[in-house]
Amino acid sequence: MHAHPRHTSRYSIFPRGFFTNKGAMQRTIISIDPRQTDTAKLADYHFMLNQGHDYDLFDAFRTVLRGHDIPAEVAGCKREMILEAAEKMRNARFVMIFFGMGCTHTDGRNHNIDIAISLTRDLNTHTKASIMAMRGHYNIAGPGQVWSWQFGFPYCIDLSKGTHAHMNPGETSSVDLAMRDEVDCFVNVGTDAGAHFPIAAVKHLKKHPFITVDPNICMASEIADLHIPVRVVGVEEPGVVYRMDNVPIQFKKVIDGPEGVPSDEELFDKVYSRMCELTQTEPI
Amino acid sequence: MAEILIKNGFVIDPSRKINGDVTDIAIKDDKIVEKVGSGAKVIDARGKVVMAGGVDIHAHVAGPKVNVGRLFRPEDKLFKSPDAQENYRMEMGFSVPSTFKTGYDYARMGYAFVMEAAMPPLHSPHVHEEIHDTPIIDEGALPVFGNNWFVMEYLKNNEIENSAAYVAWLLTATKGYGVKLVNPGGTAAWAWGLNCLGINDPVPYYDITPAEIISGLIKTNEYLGLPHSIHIHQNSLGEPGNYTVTLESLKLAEGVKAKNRFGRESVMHSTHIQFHSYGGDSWANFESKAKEVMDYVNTQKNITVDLGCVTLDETTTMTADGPFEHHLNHLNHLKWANVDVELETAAGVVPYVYDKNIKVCGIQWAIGLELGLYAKDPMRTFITTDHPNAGPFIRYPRIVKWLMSRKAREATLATFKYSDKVIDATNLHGIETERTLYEIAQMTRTGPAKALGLSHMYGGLGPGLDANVAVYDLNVKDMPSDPEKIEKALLRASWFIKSGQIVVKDGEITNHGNKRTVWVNAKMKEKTQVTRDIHEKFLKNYTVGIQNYPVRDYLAPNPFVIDVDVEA
Repeated sequence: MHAHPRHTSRYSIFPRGFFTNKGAMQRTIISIDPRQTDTAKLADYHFMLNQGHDYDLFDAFRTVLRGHDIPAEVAGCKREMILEAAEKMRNARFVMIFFGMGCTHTDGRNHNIDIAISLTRDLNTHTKASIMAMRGHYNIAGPGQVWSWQFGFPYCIDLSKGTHAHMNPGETSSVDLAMRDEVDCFVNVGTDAGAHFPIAAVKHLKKHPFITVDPNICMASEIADLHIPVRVVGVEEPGVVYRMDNVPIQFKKVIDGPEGVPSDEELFDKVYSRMCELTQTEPI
Repeated sequence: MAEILIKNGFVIDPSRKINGDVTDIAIKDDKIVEKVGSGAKVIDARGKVVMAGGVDIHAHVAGPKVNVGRLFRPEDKLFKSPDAQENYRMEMGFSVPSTFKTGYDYARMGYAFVMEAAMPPLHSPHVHEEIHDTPIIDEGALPVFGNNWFVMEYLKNNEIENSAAYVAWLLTATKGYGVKLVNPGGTAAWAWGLNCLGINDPVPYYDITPAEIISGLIKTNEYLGLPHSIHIHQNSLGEPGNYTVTLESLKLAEGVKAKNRFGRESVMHSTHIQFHSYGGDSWANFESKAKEVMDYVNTQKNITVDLGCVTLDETTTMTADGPFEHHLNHLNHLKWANVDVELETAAGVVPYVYDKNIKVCGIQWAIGLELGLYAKDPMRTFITTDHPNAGPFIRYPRIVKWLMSRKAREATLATFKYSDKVIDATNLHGIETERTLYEIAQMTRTGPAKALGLSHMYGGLGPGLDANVAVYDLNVKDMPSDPEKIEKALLRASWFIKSGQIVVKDGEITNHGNKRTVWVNAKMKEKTQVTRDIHEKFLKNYTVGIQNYPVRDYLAPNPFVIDVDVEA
């Protein structure tokens, strides 16, 4: 409801589809959250599970769907409610699981998603089911697509080997590199590392030149040695944006950007040609 | 660009029935010409084979499901590219290569044109972004129609004109090339977790059968007179005993005449036919029905096929046949990804290891080659691996080797754990046919170019055609006794000239070339009902607005547009 304000009205709960013309009336909503959120208030079933016990609950759903018994209480949720919800999923025409950072950034992390994917796979023997990540800001899916087709990896890409790309989250993410103090120049593009990175990582980064490329004034621009303003993508600059289900949406320019302010692309083209000049190399 | 003269090579050009004659090929700018001046750059091809640039009629090289394959298989990147060059872009991945590796590797093999085999219309901007990032080779993309709500609704009522108006609109909107069908009806059924395994199984809700969709789209395609015929991945792919379904759906083309101005004679292209030529009723008594299928194809002049040969590699299967990938995942228990596309199609991706120690994989390998050897008309039978489904495209030279050399086939067969069982279930062991280089040129160049309606650009070396010329280190007068040398020569061309530019020399990329996106602009008089239907569906059912749907021009910055005027 709050992190993705358009999600319930436009995509998940309320819209009237071709085969779901009664909209929300025809849908069963299950919310899994230790907090009483506004989304939870909308739900037919709210599993207010013990914090950090997502894995247990998904495991219980799988166990039930495979025809085995479960204890009277799992992850703080009653057995009857789990059985009922599992039955709803089994009998639904189409089950869609959305998950967010409450799953990925709490105890269990990737294992929570692992078992949610396994549940999706199991459900497909009974009905049709799918699972999708509730991605974060704006075009976050876009770089994942572009880097996948250029390098085969969606993020945490280490290009320093020159001959091939290397990806190992835990070793090659920007926070990992910063925590190990391995970078001697930090370029912050279209995000706010000042606000989102752990303070220890930012402290390391601040020892060296810190450049922020961003249309806005933000915490990263405040602490940057150099702040380059650029045009606002999707407002002052057209282009393709990948929606969180990876559907490409072609954005138009709405207004002209301030005079003399380059787009990200123009800026990096200039930086690149200057770099080629300085290193006396040919552009590829 | 300037003038180039390729001198003294053994020219193999089936489009002009030239088989190994020593002649010169002259190039001026981006075209082949009769002759050039004395100032032309001379390439000495003495003792080497000169062929037109290759044409790949079916490969999955760009788009959302290809990218899912890259994304969910980091282990595919452990196969390091042996050909990566300094000062060029990184080459990543093996079975699902990065866009740059795709362009480079095709160019190294002397390929000029590649058809992306399945473009989900909703995702067409993504497909074109990837095509743009694939250097050197020309590409087109086939939007999928076989499970499209509009098409099913029109064809249910036998409204061919409406169906044609919609197809024409969608081709132009997505900058697509032709009409692709993937498991017609079956993928729509997959939205309910179901499938259509026979061509007379009704599609849930739509109350239409795959047979009606196939026949309807053949009529639609010929009504429009598109350069390519319909391009079909049939129902029941990969199931033991599916050859009967294959024959039934091929029969739907009987008696239909091709109507177009591009020199195309076929009305149906049946793709990766290897996956559709299976006998038996379980994996235990799985056997080859290549002869039955090919005997039929040989008699039908209006059908073209491509092989989809299994290359015995670890690879990644990906198809718009969503229910099949779900089924495959239950067989091999590796990873599985599924994507549904609103109103249009779906896709699935599953890694697969074609293992020499597994009987079924050996039989699949044999079936692909049997089809290539049983074919009477190499102009209608094309070499593919359904990249990356049966193997990566860099194995084309290996397939050529197997087709050209019985010795090579037998050597591979002998390495199988169950070679006796494979021999029992197939006919390959008894086939003595060996394809000639001329036939290989038909199967990889002239034939696919004709089937795509692109004979006026690709597939030959006649004056006026695009200057795509590959020179391979093979001496037709003294073909190597070691078949490995054939594969080696074809994998890395001595020279490759693409649109008049030298892009490969001694198997190394020398230039990023001047790639183009080839698409078909079908101009048909507007049908009010179809326009209204399109607007209504976008208003009510699509999650994107109609104004954001058509691919904008800047996404295909180097277009080559083929105009088709539909006589109303």
